[in-house]
Amino acid sequence: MDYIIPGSVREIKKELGTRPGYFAAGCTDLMVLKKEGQLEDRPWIDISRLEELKGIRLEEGCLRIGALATMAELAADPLVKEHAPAMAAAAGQMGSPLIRNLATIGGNLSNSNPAGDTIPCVNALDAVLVLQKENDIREVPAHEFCTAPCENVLSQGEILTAVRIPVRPGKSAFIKLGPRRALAISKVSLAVRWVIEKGLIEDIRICMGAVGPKCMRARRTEEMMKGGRLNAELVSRASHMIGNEACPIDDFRSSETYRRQMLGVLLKRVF
Amino acid sequence: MKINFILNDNIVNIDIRPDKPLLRMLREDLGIKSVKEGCGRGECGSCTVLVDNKPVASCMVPAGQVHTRKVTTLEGLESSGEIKQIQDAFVKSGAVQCGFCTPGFMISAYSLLTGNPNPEREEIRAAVSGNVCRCTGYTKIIDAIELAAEYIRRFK
Ligand code: FES
Ligand code: FES
Repeated sequence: MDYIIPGSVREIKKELGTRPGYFAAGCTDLMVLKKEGQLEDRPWIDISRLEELKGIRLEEGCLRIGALATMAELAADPLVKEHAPAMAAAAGQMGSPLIRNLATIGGNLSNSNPAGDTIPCVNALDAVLVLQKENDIREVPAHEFCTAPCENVLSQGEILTAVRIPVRPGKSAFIKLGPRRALAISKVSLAVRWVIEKGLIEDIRICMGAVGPKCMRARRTEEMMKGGRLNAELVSRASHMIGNEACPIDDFRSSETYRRQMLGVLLKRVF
Repeated sequence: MKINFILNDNIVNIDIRPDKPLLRMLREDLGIKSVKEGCGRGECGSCTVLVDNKPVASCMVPAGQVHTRKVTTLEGLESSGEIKQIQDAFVKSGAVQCGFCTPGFMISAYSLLTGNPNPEREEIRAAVSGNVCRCTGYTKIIDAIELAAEYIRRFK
């Protein structure tokens, strides 16, 4: 088999040429696909050693998270906990400790599975994803990244190198519902970011995961809540609205009706 | 692919298919039998090892990625005082039935207790949440890790 260890992100495209490849970082999805015999005969590109993809730091008014940051690092990092608590919470609940030490944010986003928990987080936090191919670097707003279930805007030979989350006042939270606490794939998840100004909700973003072909915003619920006072009555009204804004599917994990109802329940739990 | 890494304080040089799971390389090519293959897909923890001192599911790690890294299995911890205490506590608490899951639980417990010598029960549960046991029903394992913490504190 062809196993490429590139020296830098810039070299990836050259090493691959026109062939499609599999990126090996945390490998928690790749190794499962391999075991199931779902991989084609393609080269693996082991990006797990690229220093330029590592690190979590503040930079130009943003929290910059390198693509190789693991779920364990995200859950424990003081900067992430302070500026992106939704992301720290999502990361800390994913898989199990044995998986969180491997799985990376870049992998979770690039797989673009509708049930991937970092996806609603980057949407709620209004993040920008940094993509690179050779010397070309582009920045894509989080909501434009995923295009369909397990599909995104990455072109052949291009990789996600970092996530930039603007540092802004306000709070954020992430909540998910799965069949059990450890190793559960989300049936429904919610990432919410909000700003309270003089007791009123000045701004709010509610992003729903696993209830549509891609992450969706509950725009009508957001509009209804904006300008209101955050209290039990408002949250109760919002929790009745939100179920109608998703387009969940019936599958082996849950039914459509259940998912709609649980959105309301989760929204109440956020506040 | 030729790789070299540190396995339990020994340098290993081996020519291996880089996408072979670390778990299989340890068992089939290096004779390390404490790591067990339960699910082979990251969900049961019976294959738990330390890579650069962090507990991971070794079925999820391609062999190519451990090149230049440090891999520790239960065999390599045998001389450490902590593992002896954990072992005694498992025996004392009746936390072992068939034993298939035990090495994985012990590595997770070791990793928890070296960082947090006095964990709450909830913290113990969280630390072993990636390890599955089909025999004991977990209570005795949690008891054992609590007892091991006590043994280690006393031993120090
Ligand atoms: S065999 Fe590795 S987690 Fe089950
Ligand atoms: S003792 Fe048998 S699986 Fe745990």
